[in-house]
Order: sequence, then structure tokens, then C-alpha cells
Amino acid sequence: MSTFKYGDEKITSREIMIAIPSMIIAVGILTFPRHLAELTVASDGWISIIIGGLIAILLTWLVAKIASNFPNQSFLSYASTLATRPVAIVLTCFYVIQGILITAFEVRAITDISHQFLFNETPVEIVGLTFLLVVVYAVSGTRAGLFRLNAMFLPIIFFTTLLLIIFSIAFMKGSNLLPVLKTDLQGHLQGTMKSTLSYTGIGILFFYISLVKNPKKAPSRAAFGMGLVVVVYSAIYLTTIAVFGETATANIRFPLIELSKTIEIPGGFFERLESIFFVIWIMAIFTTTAMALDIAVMALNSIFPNANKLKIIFLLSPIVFFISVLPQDFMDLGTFGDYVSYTGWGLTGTTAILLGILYKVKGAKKRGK
Amino acid sequence: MVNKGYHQLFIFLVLTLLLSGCWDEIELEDRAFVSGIGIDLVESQGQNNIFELTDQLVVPAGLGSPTELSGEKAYRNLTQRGDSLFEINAKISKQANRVLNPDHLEVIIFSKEVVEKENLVADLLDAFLRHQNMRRGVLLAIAEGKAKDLLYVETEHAKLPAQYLSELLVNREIPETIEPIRIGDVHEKILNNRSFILPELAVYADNSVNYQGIAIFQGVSKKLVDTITGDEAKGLNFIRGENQEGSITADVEGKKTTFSVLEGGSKIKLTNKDKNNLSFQVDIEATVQIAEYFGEIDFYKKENKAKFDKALKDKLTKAAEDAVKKVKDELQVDVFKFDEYLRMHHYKLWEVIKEDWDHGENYFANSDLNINVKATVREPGNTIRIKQDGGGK
Repeated sequence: MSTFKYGDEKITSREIMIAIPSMIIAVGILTFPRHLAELTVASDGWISIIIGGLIAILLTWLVAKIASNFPNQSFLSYASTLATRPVAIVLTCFYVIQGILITAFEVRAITDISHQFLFNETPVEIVGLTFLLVVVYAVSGTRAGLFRLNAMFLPIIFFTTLLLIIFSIAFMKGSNLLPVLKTDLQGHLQGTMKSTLSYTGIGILFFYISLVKNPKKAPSRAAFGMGLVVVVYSAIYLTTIAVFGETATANIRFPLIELSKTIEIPGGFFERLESIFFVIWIMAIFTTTAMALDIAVMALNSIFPNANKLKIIFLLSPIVFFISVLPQDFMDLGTFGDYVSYTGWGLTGTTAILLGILYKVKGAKKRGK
Repeated sequence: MVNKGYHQLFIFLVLTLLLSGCWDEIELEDRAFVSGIGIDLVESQGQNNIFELTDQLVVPAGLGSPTELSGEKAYRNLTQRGDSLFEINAKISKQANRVLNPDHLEVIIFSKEVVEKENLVADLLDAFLRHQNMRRGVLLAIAEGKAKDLLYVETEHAKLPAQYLSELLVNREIPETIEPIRIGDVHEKILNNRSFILPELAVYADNSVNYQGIAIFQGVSKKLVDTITGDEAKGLNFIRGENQEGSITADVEGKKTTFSVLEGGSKIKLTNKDKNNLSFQVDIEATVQIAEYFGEIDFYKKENKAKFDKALKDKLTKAAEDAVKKVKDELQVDVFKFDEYLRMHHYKLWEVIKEDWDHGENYFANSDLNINVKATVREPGNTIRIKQDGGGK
């Protein structure tokens, strides 16, 4: 089996490029137009998306750059080299917790949404458990398999999103997009803050780059992958604003779901399309959830190299399920989501800056010798 | 080995049970699709209103196949009374032997009585916008009489009254009608306290419904203020620059001439930006073809063609001015979309005046409006004349 291309758990930098949008695009895509429309005037939210996106691209590049300086080394090992081993272990533990939290949030969010729109009678716990079991199944296999799954799903996700936008054209009103650039600075700042929440998950690069055989190209590829997300987000945002108008968008809980319910394919034969779009979004959320759990497993495995991967998974998944049923209602869930996103940014940002500075300092020392 | 086989069988059985999602299984035959909803007011005392809700359920057997219409009735109307729409709907399901499903709802009709009450239309739309199975593309209309009656009008073309009504709302042949208004459009207007319009329908005969006119709603009070019809409705459409295809009849030297509009459009310009003396310039453009003419002038002569142009221009100007008189001076409600124009192109000014735009200070009613019509007869139709001057001698 060692001659088999994916048999040795190695990936290429192209797969990193695919992993980034697969990780970033998650539940947030269904709700972010609402948050942005609340804060900005008419279609101005796209500026916040772009600025937030540029920050995210920068961080992606930085993280990938740091990680790619240590090819084939795990996060724990290069973090130990740069900042001492205890610090590295603490950081790794944080990533385990972060991975568990993201998984739990995504499971709960997709459970609530599908309960509301697809299964009204099925108990939420059953829906959540079923989804989690499939995620566990995906994570139990080879890591390279997960990346191939991403590569298979992502084009479908992009294609259907494009399809959704094309079918929306008939319902767009140009007047909803005007006036341009009337938001004040405060609105732009808050909008950017909000939009960055939709770019959570960059931290996976600290771990996944170690799987890349030749990570030289990884930083630019990862940044490009993030660029794709920015494009998709801007397109979706402008479409929802053009179809619903800013005030209505700000008052619709899931603007993207509502958009899929609004469109009709000409001909009157396929009136209801949202079930198809649901499949696609669940795929997008599935890849995010699987990767988040995988990172938790991978981080834990690096601390306990002798532990069996399956045992770690079976240890983590009950915890994930328990956390996912904790939020009481939609308010709790929203707070939970914001919290997960902010801590994600905080953790990734801190790690990147800390390791970046240490790398520079140590590198300078080396050159000084 | 045998043991392992049993394990797999067990897991397989559990999975089939878990993954089939049988909790939510409802067969298509057990669903009753609601295609139209009519809402009437039965009783009203202060804040307490009793509504009558009529659900039109599709009877698939009655629809037959597209080529072969069956003779049976294709619908079943169920009516109940109560004070909340969702609750009435729950009551209706006590009458229905199938699970009500609003996925394919096409049209919602409010009776005039309901929408004349302040804010009531906004309150009632809430149930439709909140429910997760409702689409924002559902059409809205007002019934002159009882909304329920419209759902009983059977026609030869459409077996389903709701389908007939929704097709009627989409079919726009004359400029007295407006583009179909969807629930999502009204949601945006209501949220912004902007005035809006809805089509008004009335039962015309046993087997037809008539597009009565355009119902005008005040944005702040969210109630029906008046319905405009005929030339005023045409003028409204010409100023809005929408749905201008259709016919206009004018007199040319005392002889009736009907023009059919090929192309049209309008442009709004703000000529005075002082908020107390706002002044708008509306340029209306129309290119027409002659559809019917009772006279005998040869319009291949230049001066004669000018006569037609002039007659058309005067007629359009009059219709537009009538609409302005009615809408701006009498009703003082902006449905000309000036609010949209100001928001789009004069955002700073709009931020200052939007709270008092068409109520309170009412900058809209105090503004000046200048209408400028450019009308061109492009084609005379297939025949030049069908009778000669003095042909009777």
C-alpha cells in the first residue's frame, strides 16, 4: 500500500488550498448577511467583508508561513522549539478545546436548523447524534481521505452557490443596492468585526501544514483559498441585499435559506429548491465539523503519541455531544457561536504573533552566530 | 465469523431505523396543499378582532392531467373563525383529514375591511413571514368584497381559483394594473414605514374576477387609504415608470384614437434641494403604435402625425397630473417611488426628511412636481385608412 498516492497520509499544498474554504464556510454563511445588514447602509457591507477578508488572508498567510518553515514537523514539536515545551503543550491543549467547541457548535447549529426546516417531529438529540456519528466515521478514517472528501465537496458547494445566485437574478432589484458608500466609519468598523467572525478556522493550518510534503507553496495557496471565501461571501451578501433589501435582510434569521426559498426555476415544475440547497450546506458544514474534530484528535494525539486514534475519538465524541446539547435556546446558541469565533481568532492570532516573533528572534540569533 | 455477521446485521438494522427519518414521514397522499388563503374580518371591537380564514386546499384528483381535465372539483375550501391566524389554521386542521402544508401557497387575499384597520395588515402578515414553510414569493391582493368569495370563483381555464387569481395578478395587459406584489416586497416596505400599493380584485361574474384597481397604503399607519382606478391608475404607472405596456385612448380632432404603448419609461430628477421647497421633475417617455382610430386623417403627412403626438402627449400629461392631484394633494401618500429615488440618489437629504416624508410634516405633499411628457407615434399599424374622407357621398 505504500506506493499508493494517499497511503502515507501526505497531502499537497493544493489540498491545503481546498481545506481552507471547506473549513471556513460553515453555519455562518447562512446568517452573516443579517449581522452585516444591521450595521451598514444598503450594500455597503461588502466593504466590511473585503476588509475582514483581507485581515483573514493576511493571518492565513502568516500562519501558513510559520508552519511551512518547519516542514514535516508537528505543531507541538516546532512550537516547543520556538517557545518552550510547556508553552507548546498549553497551546496544543487550547487547540483541542477549540476543536471540541467548534465541533459542538456546528453540530448543534445544523441540528437546530434542520429541525426547523426539515424534520419537525424528529427529536433534536437524534438529529444531532446522527450527524455526529457520521462526522466521527469520517474522522476515524485516514486523514488524507478527509482531504479528498473536501476536494470532492468544495466544487459542488461553489457550483450550487453560483446556481443560487444566477436563479436569484430574476428577483433582484437594483434599487436595493443603492446608495453606495453611505455608512459611517463606526458602521464599517463594527461590520468588519462582525464579518471576521465568519472567517474562523484558520488555526487548522498550524496542524495540517505538517502533512504537506513540500510546503513551500502552501502559504500562497492557503491565502488564495481564503481569497475564494471572500469572493463567495461578497457575492452572497450582494445577492441577498439585492433581493430582499437591507432592512428585510437585517430581519431575516437565515437570509441564505430564505433566498433559496424565494427563487423559482422558470417553468413552474421545480418550485421548491431549498431541500437541494440544504444538502449542499449540510455538506459544507459537515466538512467543517469533521476537520474541527480531526484537529482536536490530532492535537491530542501529538501530546499522547502512543494513544490509539480511535480511542481518542471515542473519548472526545461524548464530550462534543454533551456540549452540543448545553445551549438552551437560539439566544444561547448565538452567544456560543460568537464566543467560539472570537476565541478562535484570539487563539490563532496570539499563536501566530507569538511564534512569528520568536521565529524572527531565534532566526536572527542563528544568523548572528 | 458467524458472530461478526450477526454484529453487522444488528448494526445494519439499527441504522435503517435511525437513518430513515421515519419521525417526519408524511406521504404525499396524506398532505393537503394550501394554494390560497383568504382573510375576512367578522367582528371588531377596539383591539379585539375576530377573523375568518379560508384555506383553499388542492384536490389533486379533480385537477386531472394537463390535457384531460377532469369534471370534479379541484379544490376544497375550509373556513374557521378566531383571533389569531395560526390558531384558526389549527382549527381548520380539525376539519381536514390531511396534514395542511403551505409549501405551495400562491396567493393571500385580504378583504378591504381588514386592511382599513390601522396596522392590521402588518400584524397579519407576521404569521406568514414567521412560519418556516412560507415563501416570500407569495402574492398579495385585496378583495373589494369578501376575500372568501374570490376563492369560490371557478373558471374554465383554471380549475383552481387560487391558481386563477395568481395568474390574473401576473398577467399585465393594461397600465391600470401593477406588477405582482409579493409578501417579501411588502415586508421591506412595512419595516421602513414606507407607503406601498397592492392590487385590488373584485368578483365580476360567476366565473370571473376583475382587477379593480390599485389599493394605496399609508406607510406609517399601514392601512388602506384609497383605491385608484382608471386614468389615475394609468398616470400612477406612468410616473412610476413601470408597467407601461397597454393602451391609452385620446381624442384627435374629436375622433377617438387608441394607442398601444410599445415602450415607455420615466425619469425622476430633484430640481430644488431645499427640504421645505422640494421640487421634482418627472420625464415620461412613451413610444406608441396606433391600435384603433375612428377618424380618417392621413398620418403620412407630417403635420397630421404631429397632431397624434400632441393628442397623446396631452392625454398622458393629463393622466399623470390627475394621479398627482389624487395621490400627492388629496391622499398625501407617496407611492410614486420618490422615497426610493431620494434614498438612492440624495441620501443625506433623505436621512433628514425620511421621518416626515409622507406623514407629519409631509414634505412629499408640500413638494412641487413638474411633469414633462415626450410622446412619439412610431407606427400606424397595418392599415393607413379604412374609410375615405366624405366616403358616404
